[in-house]
Amino acid sequence: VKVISPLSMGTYRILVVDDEPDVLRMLQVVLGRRGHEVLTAASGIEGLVRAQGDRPDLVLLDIMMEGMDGWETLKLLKLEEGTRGIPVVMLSARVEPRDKIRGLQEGAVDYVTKPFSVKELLGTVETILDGPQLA
Amino acid sequence: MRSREAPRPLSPPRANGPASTLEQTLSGVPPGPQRPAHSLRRRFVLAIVALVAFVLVALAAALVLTGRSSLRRDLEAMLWVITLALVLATLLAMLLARPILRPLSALTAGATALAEGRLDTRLQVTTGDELEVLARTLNQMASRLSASIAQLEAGNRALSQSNVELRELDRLKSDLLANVSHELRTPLTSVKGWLEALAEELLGPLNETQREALEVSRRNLDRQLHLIGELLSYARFESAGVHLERQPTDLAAIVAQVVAGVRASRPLELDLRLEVEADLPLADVDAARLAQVVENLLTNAVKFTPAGGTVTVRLYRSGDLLAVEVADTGIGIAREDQSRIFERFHQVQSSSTRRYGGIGLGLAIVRQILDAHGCVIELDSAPGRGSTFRFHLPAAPAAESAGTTGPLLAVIDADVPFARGLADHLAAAGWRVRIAGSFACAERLVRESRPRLVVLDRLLPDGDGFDLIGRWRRDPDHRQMAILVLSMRDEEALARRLGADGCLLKPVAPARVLTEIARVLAAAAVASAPDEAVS
Repeated sequence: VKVISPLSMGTYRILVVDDEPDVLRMLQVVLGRRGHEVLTAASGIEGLVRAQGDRPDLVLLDIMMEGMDGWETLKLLKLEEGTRGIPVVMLSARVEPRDKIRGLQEGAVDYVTKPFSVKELLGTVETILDGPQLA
Repeated sequence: MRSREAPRPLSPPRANGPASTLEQTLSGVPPGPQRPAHSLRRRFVLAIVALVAFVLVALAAALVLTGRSSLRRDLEAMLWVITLALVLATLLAMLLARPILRPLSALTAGATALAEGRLDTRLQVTTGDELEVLARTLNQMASRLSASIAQLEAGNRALSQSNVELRELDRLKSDLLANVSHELRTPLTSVKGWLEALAEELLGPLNETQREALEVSRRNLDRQLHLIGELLSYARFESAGVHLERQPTDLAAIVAQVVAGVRASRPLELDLRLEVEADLPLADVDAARLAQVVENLLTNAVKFTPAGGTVTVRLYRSGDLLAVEVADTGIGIAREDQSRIFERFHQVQSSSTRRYGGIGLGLAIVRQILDAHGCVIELDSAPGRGSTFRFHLPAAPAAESAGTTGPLLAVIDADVPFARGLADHLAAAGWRVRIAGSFACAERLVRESRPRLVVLDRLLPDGDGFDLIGRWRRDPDHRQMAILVLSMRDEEALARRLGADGCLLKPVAPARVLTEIARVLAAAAVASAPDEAVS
């Protein structure tokens, strides 16, 4: 497990979409302390609107949400020209391997099961955003 | 006019001729093949008519033979008397036969109706003799038959109903499991996150006591999460079976990962050793499930081995199979307990639950997963002499698509179903294809089988696929190998800088991959041609 480095290579704009306010707030603080700009959305629809309006560098997307769930949100994000290129990391408390496979097949970059280790989540997010470290 | 509704229960036939009575009785019944119900009456009438005709013919003959004499006059008188007597006798006989023939018709008609399946038919024969007994018996038989049929039908309805309910229950059960999983984990997400943020001092510096409090909280939270995971895993396997994603797997990498995880998770006061035979073939297993098996066996061994003991994980070749062994110098298991420890919720003594913790599902899960792989777990153990758990796994067959002799191509992608689908398309186009799902497997596959081209996804569970490009480009053995990158993000520039020959954005259609492969190979041929000319 990676030890949290002082700061990642850059600071990024990250959109968190989750209908659990406690999780939203926790991620807002943790990612914020790492120097990232954090946008939050409490539903799939709000997430779509924010993704289109604010063009985040990455989306953390919960799967099991009331109303429009994470799968539908992901599909719409990938359909829309302006948001198609934004990497999406799925968050879910479901641990079925087929959910993970589905996430990757439908265009998510990674799939993190809840409850996640903050360290590992930061590692995943920052690896995706920083790109490979060139020797 | 014939009535279309047959009177039920049958009324005794009225005395207006045999044919019309029967027709009335049986009207409404579709004409069956043969119903000779009236033949008895007909035969009776024919017999009387024949008898009368015979007597009359005999007398007429006598008259002709006797000629004109006084005898003839007497005979004539006798003829009239006899004729009258015969007519009277016939009428009397018919009158006497009626009480027998009528109920017989009723019986026949009723039995026919029953035979045709109209089981609510009841015979009304009140002759007070054997015929009435026969009718009653037929009625009883019909009632019993209806009752049994009703019972059978009710049984069938209940069965199909419970079938529907069982299917529904099954669906509910797996939905429930998914939901329980979600409900149990979700509240712990923010707990775990905040605890970790605090412990990592993301929210400010801590004093020693605060640090200790957080560490204890985190450790116990992880323990609880582990138990929830175990419970859900067991329940899911039990209800839906173990669904395996078999692929050629580097067991050494998995075992090393599990051992490292166990070492990191707690301070160990025992010697944890890993002994792996060199150059093992890949195993044909579900990597994630097998990691679960090794982890459960290992945590068990560590739990039941006192400080100063030794736990050894061995991996070695055993004939055509690969043997995995977890041996400890712990408390051991008595012979009578050895078969029971694989049952759920079982620990050797109930006191051990308190002493060693856990809910006794670890070994039950081990058995579920190994069962699904078709292997048996062996146990050598004796109290005080430690335990050794051992199982054998099949080696992976050379994962080449059969029957093709084209150049070799490797697909490296953690998403194994995707890799398989792509491999099938490429094989159909004439390539020999091998797949790898991890960094370690990819490295080994390329080293051992030297493919002409690799299709590489960057995201691998145990490393960054882009690191592989650098390694291969620095290695003179693989410098000529073409590399086509598949990626979720547009990073073609970076991939090319590292040495890739092409890059496609996922999701991508297999046909697109094929045309890109053709392009990459054509470009490589052009590029290498002058080189060969020079050298």
